[in-house]
Amino acid sequence: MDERAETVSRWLEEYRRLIYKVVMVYAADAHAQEDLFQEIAIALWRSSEKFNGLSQESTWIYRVALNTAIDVARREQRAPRTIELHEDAHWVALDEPDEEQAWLYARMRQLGLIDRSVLLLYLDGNRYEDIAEVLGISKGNVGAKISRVKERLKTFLENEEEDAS
Amino acid sequence: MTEMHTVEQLWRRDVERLVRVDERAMHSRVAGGAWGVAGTARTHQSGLEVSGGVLLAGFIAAIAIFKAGAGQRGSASWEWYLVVLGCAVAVALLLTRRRHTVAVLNVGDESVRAMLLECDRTLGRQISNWKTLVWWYCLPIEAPLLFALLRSGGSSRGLWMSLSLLIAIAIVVTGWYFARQMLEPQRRDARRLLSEIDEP
Repeated sequence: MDERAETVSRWLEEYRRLIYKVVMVYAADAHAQEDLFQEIAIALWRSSEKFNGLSQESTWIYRVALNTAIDVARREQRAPRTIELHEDAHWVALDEPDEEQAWLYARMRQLGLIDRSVLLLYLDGNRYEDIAEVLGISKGNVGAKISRVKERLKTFLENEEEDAS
Repeated sequence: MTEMHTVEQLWRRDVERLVRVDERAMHSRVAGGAWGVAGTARTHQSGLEVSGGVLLAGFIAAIAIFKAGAGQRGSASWEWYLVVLGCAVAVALLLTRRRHTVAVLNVGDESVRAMLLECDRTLGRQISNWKTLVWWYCLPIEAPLLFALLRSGGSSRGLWMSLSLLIAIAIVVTGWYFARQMLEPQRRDARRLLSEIDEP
C-alpha cells in the first residue's frame, strides 16, 4: 500500500468515531449513512494529497467530513438520489446506536445543517478557535451560535417532555 | 433529559463498537483507486447536464446533415459559423461540468463557509452558461430555422429543418428546466446556508 493509502486508512481508523458521529448527525437511515460514510472516505482520499500539516489532522478531517455531509445533505434535499449503491458499497458497516444515542442523533437532525455542525463540534470538545477554523467564521460568532443552538436544543427537549407528559 | 450536561455525557459515550470497518474491502478500494464510484455517481444532476450536451451535439450534427443533404457542402455560409460557435459552447459546458465536479469532490481543503461560497459561485456559473446557451445561441438559431421551415413548405429540406428545430427546442426546454428548477433552487439553498453561517 502506498503512503497516501496508508494515510487515509490511518485517518479512517483513528478518526472513525469523529466520522461516525458526523454521519449519524447528517444521515437518518442506514442506507444514507453508509453512502455518506463512503462519500466522506472518498473526499478524504481525494483531499489527502493537499494535507500539508499546517492545520491539525482532526481539524482537517472535520472540514472534510462536515463539508461533505453538508454538501450531500443540501443536494439530497433538492434531488434525492435514485441510484443504487455500487455493489462494493458494503465495505463499511455502521451498527445501530443504542436507544439513547439514536434519540440524541435524531434530535440533532432536527436542527439546521449549520447548527448541527456547530453543536457537533462543540459536543466533541473543540475549542472555539478550532470551531471557527473549521466553519470559517469568527470566534465571537461561534460563541453566539453555540448559545443559540443550545437554546434550540433545549426547546426541542422541553417540548418533547411536555408532549410525553 | 433537558440538561445540557446529560446530552454531553450521552455524546461522549464510547462508540468504538459501533463502527466496523471492513479493512480488506477498504484496502482493495484504496489500492484499486476506485474511490470515485460514489462521487461520480451523482447521476441525477449529471444526467441532465450530459443530456444537454448530447442534445447540443445532436443539434449541431443535424445542421451539418441538413446542409450536406441540401448540397451546400463546402459553402461558407453563416450557418457554418454557428456550428463552430455551437461546438465552442458545447466544449465550454463540458469544461464547466468538469470544474464543478472537481470543486465538489475537493471539499476537504477549505472551511464550511468557503465551500458554500464556492458552491454558490459554481452554481452561478452553471446558471449563466445555461442562460447564455438558451438565450444567445439556441433562440437566435431557432427563429431563422422556424422562418425557413415555414417558407420551405413541404419540401424535402423541411424534414431536416423540422428535426433541427425539434432538437433546438429540446435544448431550450432542458436548459430552461435545468436552470430554473434545479440550479436556481440549489443556489438559493447555498445562499441561505451562507446567511445562516454568517448570522451572528
